[in-house]
Amino acid sequence: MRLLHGTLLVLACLTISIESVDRNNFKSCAQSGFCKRQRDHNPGEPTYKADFATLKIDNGHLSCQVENVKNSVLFQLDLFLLKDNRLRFRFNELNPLKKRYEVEGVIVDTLEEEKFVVVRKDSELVELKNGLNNKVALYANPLKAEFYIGDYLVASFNSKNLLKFEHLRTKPAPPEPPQENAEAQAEQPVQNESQDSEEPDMWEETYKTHTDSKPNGPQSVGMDISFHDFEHVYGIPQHADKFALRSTAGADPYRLYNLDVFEYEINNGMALYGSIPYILAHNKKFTVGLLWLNAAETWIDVRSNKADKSIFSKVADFITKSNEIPQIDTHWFSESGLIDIYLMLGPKSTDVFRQYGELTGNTPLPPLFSIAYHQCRWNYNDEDDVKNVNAGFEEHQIPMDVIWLDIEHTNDKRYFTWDSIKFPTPDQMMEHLSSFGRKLVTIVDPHIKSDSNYHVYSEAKEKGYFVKDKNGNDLDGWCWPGSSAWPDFLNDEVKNWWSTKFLLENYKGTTLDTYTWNDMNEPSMFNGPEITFPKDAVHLNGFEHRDVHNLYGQNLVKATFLGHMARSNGQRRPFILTRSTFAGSQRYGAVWTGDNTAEWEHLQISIPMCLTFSVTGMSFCGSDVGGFFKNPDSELMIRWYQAAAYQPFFRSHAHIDTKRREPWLFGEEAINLIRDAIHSRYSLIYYWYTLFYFNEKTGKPPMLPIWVEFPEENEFYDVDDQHMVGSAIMVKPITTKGASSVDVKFPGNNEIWYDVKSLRTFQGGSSTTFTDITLATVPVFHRGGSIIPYKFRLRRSTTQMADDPFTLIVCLDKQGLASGHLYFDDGLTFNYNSSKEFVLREFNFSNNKLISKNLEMSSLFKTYAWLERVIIYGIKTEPKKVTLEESGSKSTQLQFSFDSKSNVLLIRKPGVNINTDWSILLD
Amino acid sequence: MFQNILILLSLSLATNCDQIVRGISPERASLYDPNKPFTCLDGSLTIPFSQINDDYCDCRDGSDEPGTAACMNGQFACQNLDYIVQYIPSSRVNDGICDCCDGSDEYSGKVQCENKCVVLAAKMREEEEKMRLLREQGFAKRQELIMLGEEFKKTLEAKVAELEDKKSKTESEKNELEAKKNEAESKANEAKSVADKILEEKAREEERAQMIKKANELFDLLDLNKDSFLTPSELVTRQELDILFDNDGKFTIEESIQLMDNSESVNLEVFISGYYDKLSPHVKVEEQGEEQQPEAEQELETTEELEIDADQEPEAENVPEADISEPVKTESKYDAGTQKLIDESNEARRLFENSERDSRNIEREIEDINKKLELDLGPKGEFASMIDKCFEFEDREYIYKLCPFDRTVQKSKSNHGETSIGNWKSWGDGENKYLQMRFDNGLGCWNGPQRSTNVIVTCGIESKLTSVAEPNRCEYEMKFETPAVCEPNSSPVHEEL
Repeated sequence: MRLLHGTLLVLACLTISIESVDRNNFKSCAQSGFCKRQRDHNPGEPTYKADFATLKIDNGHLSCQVENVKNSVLFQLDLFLLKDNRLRFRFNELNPLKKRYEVEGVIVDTLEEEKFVVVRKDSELVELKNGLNNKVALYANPLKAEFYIGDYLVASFNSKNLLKFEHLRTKPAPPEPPQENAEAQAEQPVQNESQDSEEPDMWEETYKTHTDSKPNGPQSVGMDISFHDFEHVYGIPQHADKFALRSTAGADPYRLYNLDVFEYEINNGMALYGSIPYILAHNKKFTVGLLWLNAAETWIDVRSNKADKSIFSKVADFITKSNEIPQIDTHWFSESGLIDIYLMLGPKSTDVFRQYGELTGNTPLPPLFSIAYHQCRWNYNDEDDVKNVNAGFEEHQIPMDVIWLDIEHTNDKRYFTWDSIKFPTPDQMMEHLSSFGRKLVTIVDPHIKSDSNYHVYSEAKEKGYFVKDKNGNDLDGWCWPGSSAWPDFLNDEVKNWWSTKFLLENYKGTTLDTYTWNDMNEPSMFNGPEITFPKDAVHLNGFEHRDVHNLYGQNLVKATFLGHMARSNGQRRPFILTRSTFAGSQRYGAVWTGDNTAEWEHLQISIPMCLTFSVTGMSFCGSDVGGFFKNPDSELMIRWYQAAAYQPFFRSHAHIDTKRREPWLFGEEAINLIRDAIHSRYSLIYYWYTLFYFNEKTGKPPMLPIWVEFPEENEFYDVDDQHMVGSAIMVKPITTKGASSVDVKFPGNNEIWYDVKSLRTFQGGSSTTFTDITLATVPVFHRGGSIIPYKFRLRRSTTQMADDPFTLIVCLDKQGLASGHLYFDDGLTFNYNSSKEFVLREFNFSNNKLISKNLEMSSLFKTYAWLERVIIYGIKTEPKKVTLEESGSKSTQLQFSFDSKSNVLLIRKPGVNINTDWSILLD
Repeated sequence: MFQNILILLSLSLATNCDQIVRGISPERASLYDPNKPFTCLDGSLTIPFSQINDDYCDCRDGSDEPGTAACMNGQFACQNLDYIVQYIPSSRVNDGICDCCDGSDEYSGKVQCENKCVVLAAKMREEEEKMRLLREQGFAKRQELIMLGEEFKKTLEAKVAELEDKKSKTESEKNELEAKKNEAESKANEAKSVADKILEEKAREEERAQMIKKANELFDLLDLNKDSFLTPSELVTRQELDILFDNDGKFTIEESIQLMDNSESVNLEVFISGYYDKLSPHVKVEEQGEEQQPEAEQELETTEELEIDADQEPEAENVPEADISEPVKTESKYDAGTQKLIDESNEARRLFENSERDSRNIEREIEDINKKLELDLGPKGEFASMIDKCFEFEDREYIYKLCPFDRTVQKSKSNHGETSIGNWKSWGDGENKYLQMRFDNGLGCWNGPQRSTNVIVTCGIESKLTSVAEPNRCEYEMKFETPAVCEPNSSPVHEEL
């Protein structure tokens, strides 16, 4: 026994030593007081009881009081039925000792209420129905809420009685041996007689060398939320984990606490840079979404009655043939704030995307260059280096839109400044890049070097804009510049001040072609607990950092966004990259998966990580191509480019200690393959742009899990190594070393898929193992029934592509039909919104006729782009003639060629302007 | 940078070409005949001539669209009348950026390109003149370097010969000295052993005299009545002698008698032979005990000093053996005759060892020079004169040193700390291997590789280090100009311009 113990210990040590992340820097649930209290919470008797005598119903708003029967603390419950099949459930103390923090700046919706019908109302149960016949049932004792779509119960709150709301209280006097008893209760305020047993962590908590003073004591909130008849839930980024959430039985809960994690590990629920407390549940009938709007540290337990059982008693299940309804039970708990939940009742995924988008905003249409290829490195050393990298792309004819400068470009990490020796003439450098149609991104981090000669510091200091420590002094911490302070971006005045730093006259050496990267905004503070601020640091209005931690990064990006708006006088669309996120961060820009590693597993995990961000609103997502830490070999580099070309944000980046890895440094074969990969992105750039346009309008992200397009095909519910780009393209990137075969599953019974390169066709509902794998193989498939706009001409950057002609690829489905969209504009300004300067067309193929239809009659955009060719896949017979008909009854015979083997028809040079009405008829 | 797309061609050809087909290379002009259908240059397809440059790519090889951006793999020839014909990828045609100096790649009207060909041509001529001059002067200097190198090599070879000569001389000298040394040593050793025996005897006698002296003193001390006899009653006064018995704190007369073997008295002679050794350790002699301690301390101090001296001595191997150094420092213990032999032997050894060292040094020198002579010092030894030379370059923080065939160094300006950033490894690869020097195995980087330096060598009038960069962590790149790689001006170029 002893020996065994020893062996286990050794093994445990070994396991730890090979992990890259230093887990000791980050808390486990057992090391977090409230996490332990909430997770271990065993209610025994039901605790919370609604008092329907206090029930008020006003338009779409229901409210009543709720009592904690164990300590008589009173709460207020508000239930709002919102337009578009959404609900809000808000639960707070009726009379808190002081105001509890309520998240601001995340919800952008007006939250218009929807009238409902009271179906039943007595002292124990209130039932409401909305116009879509969806029902809410609120039970009084114990408090429980159930939510139905039609007759289907989809979600319930507190059905397991795990609601635990720690009311604010005064600190108990230091240990007095005789405990106060019932008599004392009569005299003291209600808040003081908690039945919650006092635990050592409640009033002070020490982690490593850091002591959290917890002046407000325990104030955590938690509740169970069940999803009925669901086996799959997704979301709650950011974790380096699978797309479909795992059961957390036997592991720590998923943690949401924005942290700068050095060399993070994959396949676990440890906290990372971002926190989006939004979960989606999907089954064959429905998709629903739920936002737990709380910016404090949050943990989420996930249990699945099916999955957990299958682990422990598959055999028993088999014998009893249990037909128990599947159910996902989640348990959410946050360190402070209140319970404020938004429930999106779908019922379809596209509805949920729209509903969540209405609530927190959609990713605004990014400038065209920003969805193209970005070249980054920590660091491009000086102006010559930047010029040489630019020249490298010229020489090797690889398209590239943006070069990035990391922290070393500044004067000793003073953001908004330049190193005057390495970058003496940034204006000229900018001009040089701009002359190629390229842009520059510079990094601007939130830590401000403590140097009274640095204007950003001295101004913020003078105006009292910095976050304070618990004693009311400016919080001082260590980051890249050494001793630093951090502006309190919670404060709108600070945001406005920060935004002025981006004005062209204030940020010297930059032009409108310079954009911004906000890093280290978790915030990262090297000498803080868990590499971030102490929780008892103080923000605007005296709220503790504990209350607002997960919002810090988003508020920085918001301030930067304002800066970019001001910079161009509201003319140009900003582009900002952020590492830290919260619900709603999509309104300000793109995210990347942080400091990953040049390993195959990290390439693999980039797909589920971005799928998760995509379905939770943060759709402009990518990973560092090649991996940030360590050196990728050429194979990994090539495969990463091939995969990332089909992810929304496409940027190569590398740590300062790694070898140079510009695309031409891996040999001739690699140059060609990497160029091909990047070109595949550029040739589809207008397809991507159209997807981003619809993302802004509908909330539907460009990168999608397969189940969004094929919601009833449950074999795809946990697929995260294969994904959709829009509804027309499916990708299965090769993400393993030395791959000699790859399995592709084709969804959609009765659908057809076309291999982009070989033109082979595959039947939906089948799967195929491809064995003819080379380094050039990138499994990409067009979906039958779609029309995809391409631009095949290889240019230096998207800037030079504006007038280039389109090729339409028409992929017929089994009925011989196909359709698709094309959106574009000037790629840069807000004129598409302000003066309708855009092109939006719908293409339809049916009855042997391809028609281009204008979806925006009042479009004012002028374009030279024209239709270069049409390629139709899946056409059975060769037409006798092909006729182009333009408005004004002009018709022209077009040249064409037909390949009867692959059933492909190529129509040569219709030559019409892409923004005119035309049709092409096959006879 | 654009070698692959920049082909130099003479202008006379270009002017002969009929400019019918845009973007076509003058040498291929004849392949584009407007009166015939066009066959793609790879033979893959034949198309009507009207489809040439109609902004639609028909040929797989891109040959039907030399003047548009329609084909991904096309080439556009800039005519550049006042300059040279230049090829650009056809994807750069009408992309809004002027690539050809005559602006012929931008004909869509999107941008107006100014004609820069005249200026460029002038610049090119200037550059070429500069290059020509550089080559001319550089190549001349290279000849000097070669001569210098040859001289240097000759000097080295002469040095080797000289050294070899010296070496053989030293060798015989050394042998002679060794014989002398051996002889002197054996003589000295013989004399020393005789002298040592005498000295030993003398020492023994001295020791005994000393003992007798001390015994006398003790006897005097104990002989209380000074009658030259020691009796038990006199001895009994020395209570400390109880230690030889029961040590009960009392030395009795019985014990005293027993101690003196029942003799009534003993005289000095008997005392010395029979009792001195037994009694002397125990009889307390008061004044003497105190004097010894300071002596002991002094001894300690001296030892320490000696030790420190030994530590500080930088050339430990040159320190003579202890017995050699002793006579120099102190009075000799030997008689003059013996000492003379020892001195002679020491001198003979010293001379031999000097000679041995000289011989070793010469060998080492020869080895070093031979190593240098074995180095690849350029096709004609151009780099020979750079042996033992270092070139410096100074930037903001550091002074860099390039010592060809030896090492590269980074020296901090602030703390003068030197970091090895590479040791000579080899020339570069391929045909022009002398255009690259490689240094590796420098100081290891924290959490990274060992530092290394790649030196790019180009033609220059003077040998100098012109830049140092660190493109990758711990991988340095130096640019070194030297006439050693200057090539001659082959033939007059582009006179026609």
